[in-house]
Amino acid sequence: MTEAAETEPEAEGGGIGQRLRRAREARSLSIEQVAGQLFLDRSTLERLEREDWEALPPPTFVQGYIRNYARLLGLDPERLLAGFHPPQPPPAPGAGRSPARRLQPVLGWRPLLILLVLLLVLGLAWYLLPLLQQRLTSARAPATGVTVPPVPEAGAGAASGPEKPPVSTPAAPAASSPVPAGAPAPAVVPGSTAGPGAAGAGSSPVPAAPVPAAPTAPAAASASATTGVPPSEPPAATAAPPASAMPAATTQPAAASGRTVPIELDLSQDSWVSLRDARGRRLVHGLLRAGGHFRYQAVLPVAVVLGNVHGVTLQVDGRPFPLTGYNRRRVARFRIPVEPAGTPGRSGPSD
Amino acid sequence: MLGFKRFLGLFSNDLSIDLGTANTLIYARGQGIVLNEPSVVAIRQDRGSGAPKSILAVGVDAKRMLGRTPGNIKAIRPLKDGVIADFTVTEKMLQRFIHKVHEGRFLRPSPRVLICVPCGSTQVERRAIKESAAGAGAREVYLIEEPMAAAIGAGMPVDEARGSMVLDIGGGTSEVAVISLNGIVYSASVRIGGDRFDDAIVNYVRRNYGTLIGEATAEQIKHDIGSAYPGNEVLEMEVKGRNLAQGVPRSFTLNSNEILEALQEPLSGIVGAVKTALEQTPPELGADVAERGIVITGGGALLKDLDRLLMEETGLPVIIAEDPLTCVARGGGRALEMMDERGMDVFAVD
Repeated sequence: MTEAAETEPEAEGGGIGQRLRRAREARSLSIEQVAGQLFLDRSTLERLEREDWEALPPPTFVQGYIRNYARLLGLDPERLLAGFHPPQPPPAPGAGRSPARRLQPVLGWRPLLILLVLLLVLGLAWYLLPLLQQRLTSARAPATGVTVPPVPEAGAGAASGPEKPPVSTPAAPAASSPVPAGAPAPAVVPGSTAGPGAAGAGSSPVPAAPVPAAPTAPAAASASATTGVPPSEPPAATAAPPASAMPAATTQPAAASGRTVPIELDLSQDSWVSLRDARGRRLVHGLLRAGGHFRYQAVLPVAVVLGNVHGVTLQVDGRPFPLTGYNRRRVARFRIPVEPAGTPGRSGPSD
Repeated sequence: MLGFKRFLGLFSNDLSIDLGTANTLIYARGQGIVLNEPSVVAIRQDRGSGAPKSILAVGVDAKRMLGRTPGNIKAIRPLKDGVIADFTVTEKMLQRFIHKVHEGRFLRPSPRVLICVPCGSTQVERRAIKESAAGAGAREVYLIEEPMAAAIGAGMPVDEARGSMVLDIGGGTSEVAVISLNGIVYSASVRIGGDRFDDAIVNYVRRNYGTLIGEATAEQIKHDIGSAYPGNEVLEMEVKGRNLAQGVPRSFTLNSNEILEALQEPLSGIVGAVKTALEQTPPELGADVAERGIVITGGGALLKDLDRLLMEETGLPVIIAEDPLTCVARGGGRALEMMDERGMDVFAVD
């Protein structure tokens, strides 16, 4: 029987159902006989021959039926099934036939990109954080050190610069002139408040107020204060350097804050230098070569870092600033004026 | 550690693994079947009691060594009857397979893995499978019952409120289950599968020919001339084996009717399981099965005329799924997708 099937020209035309029916009729099999052989319902077979896919079970089953039917009739099941295109609507909805939506080709580059960006951000943070911290401390330090705001440009600068609390004005004169009693002290206040305008014009030539020795400073201060001349504060400022040397004058330097003073650097050796003044400006931040002479205008207090302290001579307001106490180390970090002991931001020679 | 594994997971595919007694198949999502190798591991242990063991080969290479190894090499099948017989070796094998699939990747793979387990396996056996997959580098391990995966892989409408019966004949076990509404209504597992067919052939040949043949030869015989139902034509095959009486290799000829006879015992076990399942199925679902038929999956479905035998025995339509060998792995892959889409562990079992 199979031989007959092989030689017999397969009914080529028409769909699967028609071909099956013709093959069945060619073998003079009734639909009941086939149903009995395949254990299928007569109705199922009739639907199959009618190609009534909607009424038939899902394609998995229909393919199986066709395969079995074809084998029974001696047809080639695969050839027959090649023409079987399961109707799209009947496929079972749940059989998870929506793979395309989820098939992300396991992202090769995306996580790498995310990782890269993350690393970049981390690196940036690592680089910026110390700078930020430095800025923060420099902002905090003037607040703790007793500062007088009358910066030359204080009218604008104090308002915009957050780091200058002007509240310390009354305290400053009191601290600056401990020796002269009540009389000169109030006199300083007008002087310092008048300062901004006057000093604004003549801030750079301030070195004109060089009263060198510390003990005389109070006297000078009171003297200048009575005259109402701008350089009411220089004495205090100049008193600052000795302050580090003389414990008695430690309260002096506070008064110097907020003024603009010239700072001069002479380098006998290469040194890394950083100067940051009270307004957060970086006056210099880098390597300076030996033999150089540099001059900056800085608003006190100034944070100073000297990379090679033995190769630098520092002059503040025309007077040498003592860089003693750094015998052992090369790097010096301090502020001008030197802060009184106990201040958190303190970083004197003892540091 | 978990976070790191998750990170590595970005570079790994989700895998569905059909960890079978005879073959292990891996289906990668979006890529289809990426691995189909025998579950065989060759272990080398050099002489001396303290010498370390090392994995010599896995899969096809190891299978070639089965029964042909010298004293210091052992080719073993770490799974028996669908469950793990040798825990460490299974872990190593899985590890090798997972690595093989991820070959050329820069990072250590850490995929989510869904593994099919026989529905008759015990909690201990399931845990063993889960742990060996975790030990092989899987980030998360889900288990699914084999018949469910097989039914999904065969394209049966498992989520409909209609009964579908699936018979999965694997290497070690045969599973029969009735599924409706994404759940298993009835399932049974018999420890009869392709291996038992091979054993039956070996035993038959020894009994009737006084000749010993190896498992690999028996498998070859099964593939070439094995059948489950008397056919129109008789196939013959020449086989070589060691004659027990003479002690020398001899060749002889086997025909398909003999093999049919040899396979009677394991086949009747499978038929019995199917009949029992039909008896136990609630009537509504039984009617659905009778209308649509039973679907056979697994390597055993390739045995010639097995569907004919079941049709005659049960009086129901029986159809063989398309590509029956890979049904379980494909179904597992699709189950993973479905679980993702619906955001729940629809099919997973513990």
